[in-house]
Amino acid sequence: MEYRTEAHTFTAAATYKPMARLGMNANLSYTKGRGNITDLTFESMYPTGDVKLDFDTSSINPNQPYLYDVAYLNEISDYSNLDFTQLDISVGVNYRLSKMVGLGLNYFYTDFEDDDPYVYGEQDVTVQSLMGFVTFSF
Amino acid sequence: MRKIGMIITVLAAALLLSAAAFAEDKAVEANISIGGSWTLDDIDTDEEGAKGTEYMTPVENNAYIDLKGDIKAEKDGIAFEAEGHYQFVDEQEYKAGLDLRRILTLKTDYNRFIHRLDHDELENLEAHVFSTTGAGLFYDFNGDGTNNKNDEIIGSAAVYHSDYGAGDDYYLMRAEWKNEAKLHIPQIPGLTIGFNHRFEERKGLEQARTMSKCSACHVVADSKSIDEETNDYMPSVTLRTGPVVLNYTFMHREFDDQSEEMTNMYNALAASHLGFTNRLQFDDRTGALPYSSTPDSEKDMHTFKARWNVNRHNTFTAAVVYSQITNTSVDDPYDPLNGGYGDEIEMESTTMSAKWHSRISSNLSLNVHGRYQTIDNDEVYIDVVDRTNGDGTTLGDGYATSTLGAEEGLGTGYWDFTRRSGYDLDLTTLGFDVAWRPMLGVTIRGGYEFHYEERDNAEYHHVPDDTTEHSFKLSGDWRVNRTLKLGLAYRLELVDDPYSLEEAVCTPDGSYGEYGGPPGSLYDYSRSYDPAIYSQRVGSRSNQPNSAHEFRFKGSWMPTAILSANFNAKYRTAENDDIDGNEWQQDLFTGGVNVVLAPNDKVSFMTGYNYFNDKYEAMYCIAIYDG
Repeated sequence: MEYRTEAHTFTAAATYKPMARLGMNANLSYTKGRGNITDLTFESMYPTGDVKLDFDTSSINPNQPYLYDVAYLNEISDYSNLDFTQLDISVGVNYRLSKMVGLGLNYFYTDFEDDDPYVYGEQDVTVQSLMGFVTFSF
Repeated sequence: MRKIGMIITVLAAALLLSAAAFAEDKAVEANISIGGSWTLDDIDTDEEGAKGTEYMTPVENNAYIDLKGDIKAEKDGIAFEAEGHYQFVDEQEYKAGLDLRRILTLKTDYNRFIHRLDHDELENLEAHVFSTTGAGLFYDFNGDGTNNKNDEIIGSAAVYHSDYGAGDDYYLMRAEWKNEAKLHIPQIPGLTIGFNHRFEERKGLEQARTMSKCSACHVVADSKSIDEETNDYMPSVTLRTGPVVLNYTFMHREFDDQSEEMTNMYNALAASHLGFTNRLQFDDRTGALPYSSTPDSEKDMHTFKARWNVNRHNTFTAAVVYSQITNTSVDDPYDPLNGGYGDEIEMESTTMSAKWHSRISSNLSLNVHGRYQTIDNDEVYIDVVDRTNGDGTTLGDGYATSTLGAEEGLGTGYWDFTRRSGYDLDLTTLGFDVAWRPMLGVTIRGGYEFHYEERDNAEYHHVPDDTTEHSFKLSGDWRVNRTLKLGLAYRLELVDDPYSLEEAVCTPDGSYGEYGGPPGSLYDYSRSYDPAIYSQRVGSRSNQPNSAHEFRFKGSWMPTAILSANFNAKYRTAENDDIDGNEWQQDLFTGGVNVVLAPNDKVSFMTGYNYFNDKYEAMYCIAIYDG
């Protein structure tokens, strides 16, 4: 059995202050993550490989089917894959009206794409929000 | 809560009085930010547990107020500072400090936030081929269209699931409030009296799970309301006299769990035929039983630390810590199924540690350290519950035979036992580190650590009696020139008998536990489990390595005043090839680079990339027992 997880993360940020009163900033973060099980294969304990078709002829009851087979677990790998991307972006601007008063505006964007839902179901989400504020300094 | 209320009142009064004292002082500096936020996308309920918004409390509100502020003031040796940020009732943080001429200092720090939790839909259990129902699948072997005596039901000894909290969103609000007071008495220089308090609160809704067993594994999940409080009270005294510093700290912790009490009615036995012996200790006839509970507990800890600055080149530090943790939720009359033990259960731990630091020369320094810890837990007597027989025959406690051993002729109480803790341990650590600067810009470090772990009750838990670890490390930093710095490090871990579970799995030689069919009885599968399933488990299994190599590389480059870059990489390979052929190997690589460009005062750029790759290869050979 092989279990492998892999992630790439890229980040970038920039600030720009064209004048003393005005400042701008931008941030970006992108993550791509994957995980999967491979080579998880149990050989069936029974001749045909399908417990539903085999009888335990060594049993006192010749019609008794086999109850246990390690091959039951071969579907585990299909329920163990991870594949997601997350993108976060924020952009902000602030402007100082006077020594005491300033204004600001920020925009936030988050997108999470779950391409292979795992134990917790599909977790896709996209959020955008806008934030404005005024500051007083004294 | 009364104690907390008193602390709040005292601190609030102290902070308000100090703020008032500064009110007319021009030295006061303050900033206030008033804002609002609007969420542009609606978040539906299915998305609130999403990873992308795991810690984004406000997104579930279309609009909210954002308030932020800070204040600083100083006058006549009295300093006060405070800051706060309010976004939402469950997204707040505040901090404040008051210094009264360095005689009395007060600090307080509070924050609370929401953590969204995942909701396990249990569908991963469907990786098992028989999982849709506890009744199993009807397979008409003889083609008569009738299930005769359950002969043609297969897969009933499998797994199925019920999520009674389906659709619920899980989250926990965590709040922590820390307070610190220090008093320096001017008449007794070197003496500091302190008192710290920490309050932690966890409230919300999370998923609780339990499972019925036999004949199907019925995994059940439900929503549980969480309400936990932890209070730490920590008085301390520190005395500095000449080259010696002595400190004593006492901590009393109270953990109080007022969470919802979860109960579950466990499944009835799916008997294959009349007279099937019921060996269950509890089922639907027992009534609802508790699960997923966290006991209340108390912890008392005494810490004594000493530091001796022997001379300019040598420092010696030592510490002794004694702690006692008590489970206070089990003193109800003895009732194994409902958690009553008739007494409280305690754990004791004593730790002694020492460290010697010596600066042998301007280019060479040495650290030698040692630590010993012993942990002792109470033993717990387990009265295994004997039940009424499944077909109505009463064979309970007090009878000559029990349901658990009736057919084998075992008497009532045969399976009772004393549970000896797996955490009765003696831990010893010894090591040293050396740092050497052979030339300007070059530093070489090396070290060795020996760790020995002895388990008092190993034989009862099928784990190794002891584990011995040797760790070696070697690293070097090289300042190549004014623009470039490089660093390399290597670490080797060698472990003899790493922690493992013995008799856990089959050997990987192709053999496996196989249902052999019981002698003398058509449907009694029970006797075949021991020779055919359990006894096949002779191999050990461990997730701990017996050898590991780790390489690290780091560097920084600053060719000009406006450009800088740093990069790092780590490779770790670990394996365990000493567990009866069930070997595994892990290869982990991480690496990253960050670049910062600031061409002038008005513009700056930063970019970075990180890569993570973890590959784990393992041999599995499992004895299947699912029913």
